[in-house]
Amino acid sequence: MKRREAITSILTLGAGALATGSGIFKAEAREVQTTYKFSTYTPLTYNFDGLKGLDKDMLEQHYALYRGYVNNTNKAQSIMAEMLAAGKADTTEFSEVRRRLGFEYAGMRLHEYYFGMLKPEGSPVDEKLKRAVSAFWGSWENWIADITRTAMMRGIGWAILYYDPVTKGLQNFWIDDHENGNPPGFEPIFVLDVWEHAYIKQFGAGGRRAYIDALLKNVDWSVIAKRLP
Amino acid sequence: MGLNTVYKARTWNLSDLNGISNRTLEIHFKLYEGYVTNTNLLNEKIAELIKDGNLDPTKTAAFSELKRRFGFEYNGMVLHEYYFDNLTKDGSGDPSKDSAFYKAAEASFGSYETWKADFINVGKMRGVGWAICYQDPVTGTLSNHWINMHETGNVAGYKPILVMDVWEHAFILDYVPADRPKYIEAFFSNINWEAVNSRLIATETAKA
Repeated sequence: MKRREAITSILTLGAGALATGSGIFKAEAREVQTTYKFSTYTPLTYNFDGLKGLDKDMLEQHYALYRGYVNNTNKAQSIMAEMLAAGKADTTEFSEVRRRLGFEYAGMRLHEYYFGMLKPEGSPVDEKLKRAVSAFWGSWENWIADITRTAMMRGIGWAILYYDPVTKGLQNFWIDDHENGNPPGFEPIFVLDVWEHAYIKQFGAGGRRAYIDALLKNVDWSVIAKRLP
Repeated sequence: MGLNTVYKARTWNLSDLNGISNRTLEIHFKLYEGYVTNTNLLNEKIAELIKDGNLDPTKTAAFSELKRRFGFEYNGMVLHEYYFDNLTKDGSGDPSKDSAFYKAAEASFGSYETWKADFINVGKMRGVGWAICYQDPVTGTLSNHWINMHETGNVAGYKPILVMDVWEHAFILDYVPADRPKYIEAFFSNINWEAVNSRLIATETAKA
């Protein structure tokens, strides 16, 4: 199955529908092409049953939440495409759908990185990855401690190891919600969800640390290593 | 409050609510205590940095980031207090028609039902935060607001009248995430309308 497919819609507009636009949309325009990439669910390559120390029901609910982000990303994009075609892009409603796109889109994509790095019982630590993080943190253990510390920060969001393509550096970032704090152009390498939905059902409100420890035992480090340029 | 203020975690005699389990209440009280602890901690650390009457220039970043966090911890503490205060195990569902809240909702929204539909739909909004019915202290008017996290969207000077937590911790042990509407329904059946009514302030407009 193709992961994504382009949806193209040709919509006929009445004269003057986009009259206030720039040169792209002229008053006499009768047709406008609105294209967006339709997102589909990324299927799991493993079974939740196999993840050690992590509750299957909780993981299934989490995956259902991920599907919600895919649906809502598509919904937001289709609403925008329809409104644009109908000449309603200069409205408050359109602006607020656009404002929300970052939340839904990042929510979708970060969950794909997250579920994509898990594997029943994990894998041995990749040597290339170990060298890369050791160059910045001194040792593998120091990086594990720092990403855990990042993930233990108060509030809900994500702890992410990012690669900076400009300095070729690595750094751990805290992301509020899904969309606040992602550095532009950086490559997400290790992506850890610490929203309450990721752990509270199994580990309780104070169980974030236990969740992180359990999750780290189910990481496919070769997938993480492949994300490094 | 000043830097020397030490907040004490409050307790509530709340259990056996309708549709909100004791286990949820238990973890929720604990989380609330975390906000009190961390509000106190921020104040302590700031007090330490500023104790000589000036800020060491090398500590500006530390000072700034601790201060920046006030909004999260303080609101996390205070909003939970409003939330627990507006719950009771003897809830009646909707307020009585001759109550101050019912009348204020009618005055502001045309009908109580419209106010309720508006509030519930705020509560269903995607993301993590709060649905809060605020009263404008000048006009007395009610309006429902979405608050992201704890600190984003609270209206300066407005009075919180009805406060509903829709963070995941508020319902995820009792309902699957998609069933937030069921939690909202449960929340309504446990509202302490007496407490809500007592928060309303009388203004010229509201009395009219």
